[in-house]
Amino acid sequence: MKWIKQLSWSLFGILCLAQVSVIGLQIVKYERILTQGEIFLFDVLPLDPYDPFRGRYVTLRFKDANKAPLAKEDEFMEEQRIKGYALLEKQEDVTVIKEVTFHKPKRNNFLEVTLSSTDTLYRGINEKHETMVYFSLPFDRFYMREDLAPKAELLLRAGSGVALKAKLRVLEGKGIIEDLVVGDVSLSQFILTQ
Amino acid sequence: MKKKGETQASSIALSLVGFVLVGLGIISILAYNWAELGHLERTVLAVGLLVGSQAFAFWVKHSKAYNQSLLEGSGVLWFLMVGASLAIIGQTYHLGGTLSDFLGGWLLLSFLGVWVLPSFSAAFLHILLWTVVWVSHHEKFGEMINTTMQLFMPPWVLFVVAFSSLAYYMVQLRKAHDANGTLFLSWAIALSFMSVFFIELAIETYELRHLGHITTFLALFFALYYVIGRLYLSHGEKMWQRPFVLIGKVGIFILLFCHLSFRSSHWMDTIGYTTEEVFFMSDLMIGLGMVFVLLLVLFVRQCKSVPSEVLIILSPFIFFIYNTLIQREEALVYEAIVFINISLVLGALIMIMRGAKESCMGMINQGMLLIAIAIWIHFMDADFSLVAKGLAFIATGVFFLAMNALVRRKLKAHS
Repeated sequence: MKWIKQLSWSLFGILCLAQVSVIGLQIVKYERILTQGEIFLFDVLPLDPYDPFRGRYVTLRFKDANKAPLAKEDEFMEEQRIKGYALLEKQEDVTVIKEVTFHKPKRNNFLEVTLSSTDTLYRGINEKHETMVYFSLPFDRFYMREDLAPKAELLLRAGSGVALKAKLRVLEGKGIIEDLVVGDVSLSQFILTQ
Repeated sequence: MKKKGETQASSIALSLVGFVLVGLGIISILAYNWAELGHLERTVLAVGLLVGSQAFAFWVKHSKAYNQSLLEGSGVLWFLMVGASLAIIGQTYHLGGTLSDFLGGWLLLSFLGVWVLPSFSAAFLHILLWTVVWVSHHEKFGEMINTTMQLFMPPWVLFVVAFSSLAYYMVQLRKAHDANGTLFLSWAIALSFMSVFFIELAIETYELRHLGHITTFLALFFALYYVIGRLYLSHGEKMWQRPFVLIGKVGIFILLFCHLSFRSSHWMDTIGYTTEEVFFMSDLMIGLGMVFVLLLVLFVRQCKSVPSEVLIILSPFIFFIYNTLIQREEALVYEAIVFINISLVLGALIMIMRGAKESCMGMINQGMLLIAIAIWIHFMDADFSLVAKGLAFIATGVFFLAMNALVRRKLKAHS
C-alpha cells in the first residue's frame, strides 16, 4: 500500500511539473519571438467572433497570403507535404510572400505554413509551367478587450478606407502577431480615439 | 448513519458548486482581455493561477485528505485553472487554432489529475471534455458536415485519455459501487458513449441514408444499455440512480412510439425507408450484436424467469423483424406496423401482470402508460373532430386515474 501512496505522490509531482513546463515553455518561446523576431507587416481584414474561454477576438483574413509560387528547386518533388516554408519579402510598407519551399531556408525571413494543395499552371505555347502552392498561416486571430473587438470590426469593415496591418514578429520560422496597427497607431488606441 | 451520509453528500455538492463557480468566474474575468495588463502581469497570472491551484491541491491531499468536499473541490479548481492558464497564454500571444484545439490541449494537460488526487468530479468534467473533443475532431464527421475537423494530436492519444478515464471508472466501480461519485461517473460515461455512438452511427449510415438500419442500430444500442445497466451499472433502486437503464428504456420507448402510427409510413418514405439493402451488416452492427448476445446470455442466467421489461430486451429483434417486413421488394408496411403494435401491447401487458404479481405499482403504471400512449397515437390518427379527441383524452385520463387508485387500494389491502 505504501508504494501506491509513493506512486500517487510521484505522479502528482510529475503532473504539476509537466503542466508548469508546458505553460512556461510556451511563455519563453513566444517571448523570445517577441523580443528577438524581425518585424513584418501584412494587410488584413478583421471579423469579430467570440471564444468562451479566451474572450472576444478579431479573426484576421490575410490579404494575398494564402498562395504563392513553389520554389524552383522543389518543382519536381512528388512527395505529399503538410509543412512548408513561406519566404517573406518586404516591399515598401507591406510584406509579401515571395515563394514557398519544402526545405527549411537558412535565412531568417521565412515562416512555417500548413500546406493545403498545389496547382500547376501552364502558360504559352512552350508550356512553361508554374506550380502554385495554397497554404494557411499559423495565426488567424487577435484577442482584444471585450468592448473593443466589435467596435474594431465596425470601424474597419471593407470599404471604410481604414487600412489595417498585422505586425508580425518572426524568428526561425515561428511567428506571432505582436499588434494590429492603423498607420503607426495600435488598433486599440485608434478605436479609443475615434 | 443515513443522515450523516446525506450531510456529507450535500457538503460535497455545495463545495463543488462553489469551486466550479469560482473557477468559471476567474476564466470569465480573464476572457475580458484586459488591455491594461502587460505581458509580465499576464505571465505571472498564467503561472500563478496554475501553481496556486496545484499548491492548494497539494495541501488538501497532504493535510486534508479525509475531507472529501475539499478534495473534490480542489480537483475541480485545478482542472479549471489549467484551462485558465492555457487561455491566458492563447490570448496573450494571439495563438491560432480553434476552440476544439484549445480544449484538446486542456484535456491532455490535465487528464492525470483525476488519478493523483483522486477526484470523481474532476473525472466527470474530464469525461465530458473528452466527449466534446472527440466529437469536434472526428475527421469523417467533419467531412459529412463539410467542415475540416483535424486535431493537432493523433487519435491514439485520445484513446489513451479515454482508457485512463475508463480505468478510473472501473476502479471506482470496484471500490465504491453505490457511492454518489461513482453514480455521477456512470452518468458521464453513459452520456459520453451515447454521443460517440450517435456520431459513429451517423457516419456509418450516411452513405446509405437508410432509416431502417438506423432504427435497428438504435434498438440494439438502447437494449444493450438497458441490459448492461441491469447487470452491472446501476447504483440504487431509484431511476436516476440507474443511468444506463433509464437511457436505454426511454430510447426504446421513443423508438417504438415513432413506429406505432399507421401514418408513420409517410414520414418513413420521406426520410429514407427504401426497399434496397435489406440486410446491412457493418462491423459496428456485428460488434454491437455480439456484445448484446453475450450480455443477454448473462442476463438470462441471472434472471430465472421472464423479466417484466422483456419488451425492451427483445426490441432489437422486434425492429429486425419490422425492418425485414418493410424492406421487402413488396413491402408489407401494414403488417409491419401491426406487428410492432402487437409487440408493444404484449410487452405492456407483461409489465402489468408482473407488476401485479410483484406488487410493484411503478411497473403497473408503466405498462398502462404504454397502452394509453398507443391508444392516443391511434386516436390522433383517426379523422375525428377536436371535441371528440378532447373527450377521448379526458376519458382515457379518468380511466387511468381510476385504475391507478383501484390497483393501489388492492395492493394496500393485499400487503
